[in-house]
Amino acid sequence: MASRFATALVALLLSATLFPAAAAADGDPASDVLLGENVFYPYSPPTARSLETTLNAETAAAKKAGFPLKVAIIGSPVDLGVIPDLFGKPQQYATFLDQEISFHTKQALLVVMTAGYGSQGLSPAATSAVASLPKPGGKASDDLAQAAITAVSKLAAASGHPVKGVKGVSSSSSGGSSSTTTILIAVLALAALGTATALVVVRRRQAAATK
Amino acid sequence: MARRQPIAGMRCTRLQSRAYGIHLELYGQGRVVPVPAGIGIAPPQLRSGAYVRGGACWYPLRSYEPTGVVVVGAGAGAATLGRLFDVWGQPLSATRLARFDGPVAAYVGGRRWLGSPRAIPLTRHAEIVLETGGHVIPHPAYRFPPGL
Repeated sequence: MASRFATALVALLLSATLFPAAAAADGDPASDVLLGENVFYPYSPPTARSLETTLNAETAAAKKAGFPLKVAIIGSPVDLGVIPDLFGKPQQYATFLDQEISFHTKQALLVVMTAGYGSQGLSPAATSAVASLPKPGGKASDDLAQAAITAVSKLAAASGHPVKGVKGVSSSSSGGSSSTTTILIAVLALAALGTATALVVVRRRQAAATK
Repeated sequence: MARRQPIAGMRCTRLQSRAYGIHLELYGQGRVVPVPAGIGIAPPQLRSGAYVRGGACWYPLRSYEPTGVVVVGAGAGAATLGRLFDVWGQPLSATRLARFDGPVAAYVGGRRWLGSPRAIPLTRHAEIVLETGGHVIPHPAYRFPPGL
């Protein structure tokens, strides 16, 4: 099975050399890698394998759920090839990259940089969700990958295609937080208990008063 | 390449040597022609996503990623674009670029190359653009990843 997949992948890549991509510009590594992959990772330092596995699985699950998304994680100007000047400008780069990888149909796209996020091809709700994302927690590739994992889950949920069952992806980032829900239920239960107790006390006092 | 025979005087070995990078962009009829990962790396190739991490042996001119970055290692002799295309197994001449027929315009560092495209030297960090059937403004430079 794996060898069949590898053969198919090689055939796909070989055919790509014979038939041109529809883009009219090239030169940034992510545009080439994203033709066949869901995620582009920074060159240096390498992203932790566990984070790559999680993010790859998450984007695959999102696609299966009806939310295909390409993610470009840009850690330094080196990751931008011929356009290093766009480092630190995630939305500008997202617009540039969109022209290179969206051919006949609009391709949903998320760019993650230390400076923040850029996006293209998302629904209005998902675009709003991008605006509310906290900036990555650091400059390292792992920080950016972790931010991407959180972002993909939130965007998928905002688009109505929540990602479920991916190891390493917190369900709290998929819109409805399970821990928040648990706390809310506990608070409501306590409130109901308190109200019931108060009612009992009041009725007993009323009964005592009538005697 | 699959038979691991010498190509254009270059041998397929498992030698790890110092290497540098060049960047190659190809356009046919105004559209990108991808330069694949795995040029100059003999099968069975070790693949990881879009990247080729290794193989049975490798030639001095080879690619590990589908980004147009080509590695030039020891043993390449007078490394030229023509020899790279020989390793790749694609035709290149003044009137042919891979499967595209027509006059081939070449640019090195953003400047027009007036000689044969096959003669373009693969010098360290060269940015090479080939076009046929339409013009795309050539990039003058490329930011290479660490180690190249």
